[in-house]
Amino acid sequence: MEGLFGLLHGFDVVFTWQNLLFALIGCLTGMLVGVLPGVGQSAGMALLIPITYHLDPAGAIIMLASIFYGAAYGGTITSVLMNVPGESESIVTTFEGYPMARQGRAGAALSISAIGSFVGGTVATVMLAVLALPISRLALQLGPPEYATLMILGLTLAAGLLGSSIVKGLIMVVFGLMLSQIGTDPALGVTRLTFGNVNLLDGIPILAIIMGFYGLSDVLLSVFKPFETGNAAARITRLLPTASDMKRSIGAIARGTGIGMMLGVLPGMASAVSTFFSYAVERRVTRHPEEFGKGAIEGVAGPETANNAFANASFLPLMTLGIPGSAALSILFGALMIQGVTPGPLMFRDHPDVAWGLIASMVVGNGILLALSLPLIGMWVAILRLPGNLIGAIIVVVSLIGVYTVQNNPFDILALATFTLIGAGLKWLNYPLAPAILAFILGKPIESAIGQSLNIAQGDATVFVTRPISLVFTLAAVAVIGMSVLRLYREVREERESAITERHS
Amino acid sequence: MSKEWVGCIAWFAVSAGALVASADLQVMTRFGPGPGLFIKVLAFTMLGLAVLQAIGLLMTHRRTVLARPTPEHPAALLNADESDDQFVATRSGMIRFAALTTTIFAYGLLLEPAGFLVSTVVLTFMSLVLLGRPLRRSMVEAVIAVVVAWLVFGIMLGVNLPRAAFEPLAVFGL
Repeated sequence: MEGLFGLLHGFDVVFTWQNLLFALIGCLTGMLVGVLPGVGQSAGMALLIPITYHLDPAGAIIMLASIFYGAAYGGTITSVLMNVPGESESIVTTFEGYPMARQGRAGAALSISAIGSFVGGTVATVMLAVLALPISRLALQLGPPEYATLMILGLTLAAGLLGSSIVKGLIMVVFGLMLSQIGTDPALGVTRLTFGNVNLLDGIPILAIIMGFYGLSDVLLSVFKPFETGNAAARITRLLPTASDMKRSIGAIARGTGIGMMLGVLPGMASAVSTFFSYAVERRVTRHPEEFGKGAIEGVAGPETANNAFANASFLPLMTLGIPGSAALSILFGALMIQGVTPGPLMFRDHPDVAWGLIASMVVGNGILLALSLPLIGMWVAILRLPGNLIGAIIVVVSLIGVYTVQNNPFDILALATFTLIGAGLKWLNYPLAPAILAFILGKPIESAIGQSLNIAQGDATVFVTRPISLVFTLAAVAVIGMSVLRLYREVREERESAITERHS
Repeated sequence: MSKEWVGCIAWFAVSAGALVASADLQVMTRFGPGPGLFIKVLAFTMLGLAVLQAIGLLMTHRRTVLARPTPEHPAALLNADESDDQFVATRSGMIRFAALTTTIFAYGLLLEPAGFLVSTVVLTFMSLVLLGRPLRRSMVEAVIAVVVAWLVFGIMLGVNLPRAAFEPLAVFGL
C-alpha cells in the first residue's frame, strides 16, 4: 500500500509539463537510437548524459530512463522490418518477426510487440512500486560482508551469463575493478596510481569510460567495416493484429511478463536471457509448433513482453541495492551519481522525488511508447536511410562537446579519447565491455564493503563464508562460474561433433 | 600472432604494470586494509586469469566457432559475443583510424587555445571526411553542425563555451 502511495507521489512529480516533455523526448530519442544502425541503447544514453546534466535530477533521470526502454522498442522495429537486431536481446524477435514481415504481417508483429511491451512494462512497474520499499528496508539490514558478496555475485553473473568465454568476462571484471582503483583511497585518503596528475585525484571520469567504450569506439571501428547495404525494410499493409492473433498472444504475454519480472530482479542478469527463456517456453507450450521459425506470433509476443518487463524490473536491484544489472543501467547509475543521487536503499528516503518520479515515469513512458510506436513507423523507416558516416560524425562531435561541458575541463576530452582507443582495442580483440563498466561502477563500493568487513572481523577473511547470507551469495557466484564453464564446454563439444559428422557424411 | 594471443599478452602487461605502479602502496596498515591491498589482489587475479587464457590457447590449436542462434537452437544466443562484428583491417582503414584518433586527441589539446568555434569546425569537418563524406558537403555540414551545437550547448543549456586564448583568433572574438 505504501508503495502505491509512493507511486501516486511519483505521478505528481511526472505530471508537470517539463517532466512529461522530458519523458516524450526520451522515448523518441530512445526509439531513434534503437532504430539507427551502430547506435545502441547504451551509446544513446551515454551521449545524452551531458545534456541531462544541465537539467534538474528528476527530469534528467526520467529522460534517461525513457531512452532506456524506448531503445528496447526501437530495436524491435529493425528486427521485424529488416532482420537487423540492434541488441542481443532482440535477436529472438528476428526469428518470428522477420518471417511475419515477409508474409505482409509486419504491422501485426509490431503492434503485438507494443501491446506486450506495455503490459509487461506496466505490470513490472507496479511490482517495482510495491516491492521497492520493503526490499530497501531489508537491504539496510545487510552488513558489509553480505553487500560485498552480493556485488561480487552480480559481477560474476555479468561476466558468466553471456559470451563465448568466461575467462574473458572475468578478465574484464578485474580490469574494470582495477580502473576503479585509480584516484584517492576511500578509507585513508591516500592517492594511488594517479602518476602525479591532479585531474585523476577523483578517479577516472565516469563519462569518459562510458562514452569511450559505448559511443565513440564503435565510430572509430566503423572505418574497418565493409560497406553494408542492409535488407530493404518490409512493407506494412495491415497495422492491427487479428482476433486470432490476439487470442494466441494473450498467454505468451502473460508468461513473458512473469519471466521478465522474475529474471529482471536478479542483479547482474542479462536481458537476452529473458527473451531466450520466453522464446524457449513458447516453443514448448505452443499448439502450433510447425509455425515456429516461419512467423509464429507467440514467438514475438512472449520475448518482447519479457524484454520490457525485464527492463522495468531491473530497476529494482539498482534502486534498492545500488547494483546495476547491465551496461545501460550502469550508465544510469553514473548519471544518478553525477546528479548527486546515490542509487541504493537510501534513495527513497533521501531523494523521494527522483525515486518515485522515475518509477511513475515508467508507466507514463510505456503509454507514450504504445501511443507513438505505430503511427511513427514510417518516420523510423525513413531515418534508417540516413548515411552511417553522417551519424558517426554527429556522435563524435556530440560526445566530445558533451564530455567537456560537464566540468569544463579539457582533460576529460583526453580521457575520453584514451578510453575510446582502449574500448576499440578491446572490441577488436572480442572482449565484452559490459562487465568492465559494471565493475568500474561497483569498484569503490566493493572495496569499501570488503574493507569494512575485514575491519569488523579483525582481518579474518573467512567472514565472507561464515555468515549464512554471504555464504549463499559466495556459493551462488561459484555456481554461476561453474554453470558457465559447463555451458561453453557443451557448446564446443556439440560444434565439434557436428563438424565431424558433416565431414563423414 | 593471433588476436587471442595479443589480448593475452596485453593482460600480462597490465597486471605487471599494476604491480609495479602499486609497489610502494601498503597492503595492510594498523587501521586495517591499506591502499595497496585491492590493486595487488586484482593484479595477481588478472595474472592468474591471463595464465588460464594462455593455457586454453595452447591446448586448443584451432578455435571452435560456436553456432549462431537460430529458431531451432535459440540457446546459442547466450554464447553470442557483445561485439560480434567482423572488422577488415585495410591500409586505408588503418590510416583513417589513426587520423581520426589524432583528431580526437588534438581537439582535447586545442579546444581552449583555439576556442570552441574554430576547433569544433575543424573536428566536425575532419570526422566527416575521414568517415567517408564528400569534401564539399562536409564543409557545409561542419559549419551547420557547429552552429547547431553552439545553439544547443551555448544558448539553450547555458554552457560557458571557451573562446580562443590564441591571440590572432581572440582578436576576432572566436
